[in-house]
Amino acid sequence: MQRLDAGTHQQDAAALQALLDAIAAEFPELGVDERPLGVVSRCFLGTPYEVHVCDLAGGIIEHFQHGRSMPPLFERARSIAAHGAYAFIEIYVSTIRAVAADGAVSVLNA
Amino acid sequence: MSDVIDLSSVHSHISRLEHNLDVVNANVGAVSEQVIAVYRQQELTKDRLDDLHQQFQEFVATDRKDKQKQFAATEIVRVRQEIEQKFGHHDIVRRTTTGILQATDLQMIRQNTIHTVTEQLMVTTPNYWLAPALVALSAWIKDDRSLAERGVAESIRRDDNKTSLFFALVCRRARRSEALTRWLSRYFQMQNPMAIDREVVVMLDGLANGVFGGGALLACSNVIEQWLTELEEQAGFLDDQRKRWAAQLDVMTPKPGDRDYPTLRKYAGNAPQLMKALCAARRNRAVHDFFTNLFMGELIVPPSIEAACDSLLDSLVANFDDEELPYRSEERLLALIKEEDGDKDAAKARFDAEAEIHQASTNFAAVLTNSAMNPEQLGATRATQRYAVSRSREWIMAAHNDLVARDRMEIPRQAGLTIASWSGTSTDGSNEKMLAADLRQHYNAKIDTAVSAVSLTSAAWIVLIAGILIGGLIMTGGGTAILIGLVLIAAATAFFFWKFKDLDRQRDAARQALEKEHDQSAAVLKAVLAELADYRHEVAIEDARSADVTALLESLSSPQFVLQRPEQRVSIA
Repeated sequence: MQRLDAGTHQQDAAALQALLDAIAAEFPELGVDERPLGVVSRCFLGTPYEVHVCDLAGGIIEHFQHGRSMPPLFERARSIAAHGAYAFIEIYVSTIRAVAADGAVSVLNA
Repeated sequence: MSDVIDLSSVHSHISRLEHNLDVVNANVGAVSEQVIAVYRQQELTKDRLDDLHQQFQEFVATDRKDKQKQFAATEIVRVRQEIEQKFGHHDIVRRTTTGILQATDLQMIRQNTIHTVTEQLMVTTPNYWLAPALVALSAWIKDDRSLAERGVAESIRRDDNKTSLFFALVCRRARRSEALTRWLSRYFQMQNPMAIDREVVVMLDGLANGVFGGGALLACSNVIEQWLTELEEQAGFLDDQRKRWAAQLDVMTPKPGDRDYPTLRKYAGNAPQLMKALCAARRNRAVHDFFTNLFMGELIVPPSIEAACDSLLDSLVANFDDEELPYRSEERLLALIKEEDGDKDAAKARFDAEAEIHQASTNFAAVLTNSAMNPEQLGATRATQRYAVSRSREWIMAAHNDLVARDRMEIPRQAGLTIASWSGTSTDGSNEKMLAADLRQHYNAKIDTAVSAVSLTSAAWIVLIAGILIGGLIMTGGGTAILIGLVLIAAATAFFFWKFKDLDRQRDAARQALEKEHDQSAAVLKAVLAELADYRHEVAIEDARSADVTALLESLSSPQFVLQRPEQRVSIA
């Protein structure tokens, strides 16, 4: 997810597809409806960017500036993604899961 | 010469009029000052009313809590009396248990005396499982196999679980290893980890305190692992464990102190959320201290295996009678209300977190959790508490991580500040210059509005126009009427000019009042932003302590918290 900051994936469709395939490979046993809707993480592009979103369903990567609102299901993960203690936040319909750099997963009910 | 008009009386009238106008001017000035004074008084009264309202609300809340506390104190006495009335006779049987065993050790009492005592207890405490168990015990001591078997059979019929544990402990006390293993096996076979009776804590105590040695120790350790494996295979078990532990840790959240960030609390619109986030972050320290204290210091170990068994027998017979459960549960809730100084909501939250203790049977993992967090409610020892925590550390870490993530998500990103008529937002107080400039701009606009709002009143215009019109009308009468008309016009004009001249004074007064308000607001803003910076600093430090809790829990391992008694070490060697 950190590599998203390089911005390659926004221009390079192949790189984006490779990333989405890699994420899908992480959830081999889950059905499409059980997989995360997307992943939110802190954006290191610098001010004014705050977080970025990888929307797995739409295959879109987007960087969000301070104050610019995110899609509804993703907005709730904004503050925890910006906190910096987690590598990334997985967004599900009813829960969000904060994954730390050491792999520890914190579950939050929406 | 008769055509010459004598104007001296007109002059004197005009002089008098000027004098009167000065008087009116002075009076109007005084009235204006009084109006400003009344305005200030009104502001002061409003502030005092707000303070009074706040104090009244605090008083009502305190009064309610005091009454709840008093009520709880009275009710506890009633519940305890009820327990005493209904189950007081059980106490005699309980005390007799270890009495018989110790008397037998010392060989001071005749076997017939013991037998008579147990027979009397059997008669006076019907339906109580312990009475036939004591008859069996005395028959065993007396070597009356037939009576012992009948006593055991009746005791098992009344409460199989407790009877099996009871005789397991008696056998351990008498160092009958084979019989101990058989009683324990019988006990284990009856258990369902999904709905286990609370007295399983006695087995945990026996394990953690090193009472069960050799084969029994191994059997207990294996059965615990087997039960937990079975539970972990259940769908949703891990989620339940996380939630169970999260509820236990969450009630350790401290309350905000009265001196915490008073200015920020007063002027931030989202102060309740800010304080909640601060307290949640401070919980990391509370949790860390709790576990550190739990694992610090030496355990008080009973001096002999007999003493250890007696302690467990006391716990078994005293803490787990289901008939007493509703009363014990009520007593506990009342005690929590008392502990929380009448705060019923806080007491209820703590009671709910330990609710499973008050159920006759529950999940084994819940027993483990409650042995760790509420040992006094289950009669569990400190050794058991340590064992339970170390065995549950994975779940505790997961629950701790969940809570920390939840709290991090709820930290308000900005403080919404409202000072007098100005409002603004700040993240951490670093935008002080910008906010101070905004405040200045706000008051500049306010001053401009107030100053431009000061203008001639319609009354001044009416007086001027009416004076000229009426004066002109009177002057048409000729003669002395001209004089009167002139006087009237002069008076109206003088009044108009006086009002016009007074505008500058009114504008100055409005400007000064608002400048004063700005200075006060700027001072408050500075104080609020300083507190906000301190607040963010403290939250960051307390939040970082969550890693200390994880590190502490990671360092624990359950086998190291199973005590080995000296005699066991000898027997292994």
